[in-house]
Amino acid sequence: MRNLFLIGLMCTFASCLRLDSNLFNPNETVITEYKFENYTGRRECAEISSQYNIPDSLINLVQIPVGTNNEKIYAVYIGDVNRIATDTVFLYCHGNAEHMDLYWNRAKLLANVGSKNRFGVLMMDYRGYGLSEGTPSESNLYEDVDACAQWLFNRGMRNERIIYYGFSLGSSAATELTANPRTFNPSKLILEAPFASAEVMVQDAARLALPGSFFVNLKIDNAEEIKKVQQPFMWIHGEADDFLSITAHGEVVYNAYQGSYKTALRVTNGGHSNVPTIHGFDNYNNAILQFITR
Amino acid sequence: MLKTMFYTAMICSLYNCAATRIVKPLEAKQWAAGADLGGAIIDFAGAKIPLPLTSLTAAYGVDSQLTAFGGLHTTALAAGVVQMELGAVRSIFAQDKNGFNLSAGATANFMVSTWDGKARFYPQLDINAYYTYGAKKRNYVYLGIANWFDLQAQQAHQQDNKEHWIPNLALGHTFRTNKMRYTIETRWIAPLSSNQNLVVTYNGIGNQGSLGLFFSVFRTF
Repeated sequence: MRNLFLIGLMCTFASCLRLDSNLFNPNETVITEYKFENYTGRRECAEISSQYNIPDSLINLVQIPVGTNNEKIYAVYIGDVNRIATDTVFLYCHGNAEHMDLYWNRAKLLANVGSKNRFGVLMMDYRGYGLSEGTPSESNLYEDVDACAQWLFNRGMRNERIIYYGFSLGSSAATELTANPRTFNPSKLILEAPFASAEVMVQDAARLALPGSFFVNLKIDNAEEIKKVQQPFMWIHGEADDFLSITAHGEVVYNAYQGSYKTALRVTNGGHSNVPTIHGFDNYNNAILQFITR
Repeated sequence: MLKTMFYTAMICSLYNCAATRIVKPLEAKQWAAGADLGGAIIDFAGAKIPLPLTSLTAAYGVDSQLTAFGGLHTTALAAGVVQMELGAVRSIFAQDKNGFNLSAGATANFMVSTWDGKARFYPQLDINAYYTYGAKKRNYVYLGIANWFDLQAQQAHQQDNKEHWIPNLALGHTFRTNKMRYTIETRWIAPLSSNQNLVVTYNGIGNQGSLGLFFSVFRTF
């Protein structure tokens, strides 16, 4: 009996220092409302010009229920909601920090690929991010993104017009939901600065070939899941990415892809968060346009 | 952000979260037990501090030249990894007259995940030069190199493992009383490895490795 108690105590103790939650860094800046164009805090692609601005009429903040408890997450749809049944839309999965205001400029760029407000973009705050309720986790991440896909489906979106775009942390949801389709079997997949797997992140940090299970229970494995993806695939990565190195992470994912078509955009001097800026916003958008219209 | 720094820095420290267990062999038939505290140096609230990671050590003097020891990494245990080490340290050069000494150690590091049973084994070879001084030459300063060997041929996703030798340089001081031993050690972990473009921000030297700071307290019996 005493041994059972000790084993139970050890298991309880052992669970307290897992690193899973470290993957998520929501809300270093607490917000009380989304400001999008008017946000003055830290944001990515801050150098973007006003030509990419989105008119208020095309900014649609929506709430989407998720999970068994019907927790509420927030998403923003850039475009005309009434034209979702005919438009092509990016489902944009953002990175692990902060909230949608940080990534707003990235979403704006995609909306303006090709020409002014040509594409729809749906970006969401995962559970625990921004004003979204709940707690972030790997399974919640996938569920939240798919709930947003369902929101699009209910408004007429179909497989052939939906493109999944995952940036950094968001690459896990984009890859998972393309490899193992739920609501959509998307037409194309774009990954920017993807990480290879939770295990690579552990080994990257530890400098030893340790199993990922030594530190995390995460099952994220983009390098493995990408092998199931048949859709055309575009990989974007900064060659100077100082967080998820292009060789340890991005190249491993890109090389593992075995589908119908792939293309790589390696950005010289590009870091983890500034690839569109370094590559030039027009160049970045042109590269994406070439991929999705090929 | 603080959570991030703590956890990410912990990763690098779990496999290296103790001062050199034994530098100077114990006396014959002598037992010692101790605790270690310390780890990689991180930025915390504007200051650089060592992570407060812990481990336990027990040692036994087989004879006056050879000491066997075992260690348990309690912080790793808290993460669900049973990490133990078994090793021995032998005096290979002793010159009581002027206090210069050398010892060498061999250690087997075992790690087993309680989550899925995956295990790793890392052999370790240490060489320490130490200089004894003070009353009865009890205290000593030491300079050592601990060499970890990663036997895995591949990393995740069948990528070649290119770092099989991971040295650590240690500089420490031990103050002894009749029954107690107090050590402070600074360590340059993996000085041959770049600390750039990683998910972890290390405080190394010239973009190489990570610095660590450790304290240990031993009692002899």
